[in-house]
Amino acid sequence: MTAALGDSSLGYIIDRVDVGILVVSDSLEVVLWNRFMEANSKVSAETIVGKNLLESFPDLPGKWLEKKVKSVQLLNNFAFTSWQQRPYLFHFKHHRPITGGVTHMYQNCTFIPFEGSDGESLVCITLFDVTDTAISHREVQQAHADLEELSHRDPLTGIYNRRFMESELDKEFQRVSRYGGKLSVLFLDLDFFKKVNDTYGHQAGDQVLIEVTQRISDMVRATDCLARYGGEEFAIMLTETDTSGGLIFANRVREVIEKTPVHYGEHVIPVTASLGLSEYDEGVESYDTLLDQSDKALYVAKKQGRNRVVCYLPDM
Amino acid sequence: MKTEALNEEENEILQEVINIGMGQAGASLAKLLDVFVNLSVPRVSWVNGDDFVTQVAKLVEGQGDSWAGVRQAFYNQLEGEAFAIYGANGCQQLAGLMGYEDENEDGAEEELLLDVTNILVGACLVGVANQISKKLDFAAPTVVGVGKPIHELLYSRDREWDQCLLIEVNFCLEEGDFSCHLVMLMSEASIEQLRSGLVQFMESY
Amino acid sequence: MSIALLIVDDSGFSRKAMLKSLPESWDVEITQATNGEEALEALRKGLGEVVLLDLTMPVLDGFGVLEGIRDEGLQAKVVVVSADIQPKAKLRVITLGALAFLQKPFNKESLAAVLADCEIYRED
Repeated sequence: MTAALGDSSLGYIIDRVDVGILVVSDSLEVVLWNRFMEANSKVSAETIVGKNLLESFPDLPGKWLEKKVKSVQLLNNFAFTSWQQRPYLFHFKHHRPITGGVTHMYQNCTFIPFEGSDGESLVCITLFDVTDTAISHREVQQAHADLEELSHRDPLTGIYNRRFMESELDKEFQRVSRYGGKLSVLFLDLDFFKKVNDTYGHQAGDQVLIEVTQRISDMVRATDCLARYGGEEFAIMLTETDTSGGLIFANRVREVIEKTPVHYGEHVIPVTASLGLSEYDEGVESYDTLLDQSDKALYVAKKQGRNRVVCYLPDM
Repeated sequence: MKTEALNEEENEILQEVINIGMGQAGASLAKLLDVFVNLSVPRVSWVNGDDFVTQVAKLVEGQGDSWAGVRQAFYNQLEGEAFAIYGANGCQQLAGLMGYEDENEDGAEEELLLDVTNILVGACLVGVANQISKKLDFAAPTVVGVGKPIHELLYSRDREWDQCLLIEVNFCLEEGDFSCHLVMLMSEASIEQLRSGLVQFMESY
Repeated sequence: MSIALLIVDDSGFSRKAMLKSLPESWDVEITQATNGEEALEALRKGLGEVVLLDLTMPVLDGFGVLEGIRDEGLQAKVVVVSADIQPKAKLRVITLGALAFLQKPFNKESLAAVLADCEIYRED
């Protein structure tokens, strides 16, 4: 820096810049305390200069601060702290009382070691108010999380979509093929769904999808994964379930759907479903195969007259 | 791959200049942790900015699938971005040595990664910059991710940096190994600065 | 009579820099080695009355060379020239029998001063 300005001008700038600036000695005695620090801490420079920083601010992380000051002096290297790991050094109020939703000012700090005019080792600490950044970061994170959740869901029924279900199935498949365990996949297709749409209209069709989904949702366990696979087709990943368990579950689903028609306006719409089931065994190479097998079993269920459950057999 | 940014002789000097920088980084680390650090010869190579993700992934292949990454921008006469990549074990060992274990605060481990990165990148690059008489400043480091596969840490996006300098360093501490990969991405203009600095450095002998 | 000088460094640049920085009037017979193993072989052949030794090297590092010299009872005046500037590293090489430690980057003057200090060679 070339200082074409005199000391008093520089002093004025340091005092008035919108950044917290303080200088401490190696024993944490305050040497400089600018106006930003005064305004936010309500402690004036006159009171604190010459005093020990930790005695004036007992809430500061004392051990940590001592170590930090020592290490920057020892290594003669800048050090930084970020609000993401350490939200603040000084507990100051923030300046967003209305829109903030936060309780304190977030701060980024820099520690700058230097030699004073008498050769003493000093450390300058700068404090940046990054509350705005922290708040918008948090909002972006939240929006990200919301979007990610949305991207896993089918918009009409709210259950998972095909892509998410397949990625879950892939993970579960890797797990059982590595460590052993049971895994089944159930495909479900509503019978004569096109006729529902043609007779009662698409809104009625949507209502049927929503209600049937609700009924199946009530029956699956938290560790299972129910997804809308396509139009009126659903897939259910059944963890820790073999064919006999899967069959019991599939038949319960089939019965519930058959016994509970969907009410739409004055119409009572009867619904049935065909289901295809397949189970993981050691010969199955990938989760695709498992899906493919369930689909084949479903096709057979349809051919055999619908409203039934069929398990996959190798000769299908 | 593009033509090498530096010729063979310049690369040889760079290797030595980095060697000296890493010596200073090691000494800083030793001071901070109060341990003896066994230095190894840093491996230095250039990769094209476009396929740096693939190159780095290749470099760490088979060394685990959980990594922590910290990036730190540097600017002034040399400008670019440094990435430090740490294996999962190294972080925990360092935490003990740095005396963070008694704090048990959220973010303490990340703060440690930031501190160590700041020291390594700072000492190494300042060491290099001083030798070739270039000015250098640093922005605060930020954590890119912890416990992630390598490609997630180095996700590709539009880059201004065409060439990247890959520095692989290992620090063996008495308490166990701790290794770190440093990746420096630099602009064309910086590489020119680097070249001119290296030539001057060579002529000083 | 010329002195057998052994320069040990894995970096070609660094070896060149050492060669260029040697006192011009010094009458030496130079051998170069790129790692510790090569250095010990040269020492066994008597090619290193004076050794300028790097520490951080592949295959066998400078500490290993100093241990080898000690264990095999080889006669050599060793000046360590290294970027490893930890105080403990300096202490270790001196304990292992090195006469001096020269920090990298070095120059003609600092090399000449170390050689003079160790009474290896003094320029007139």
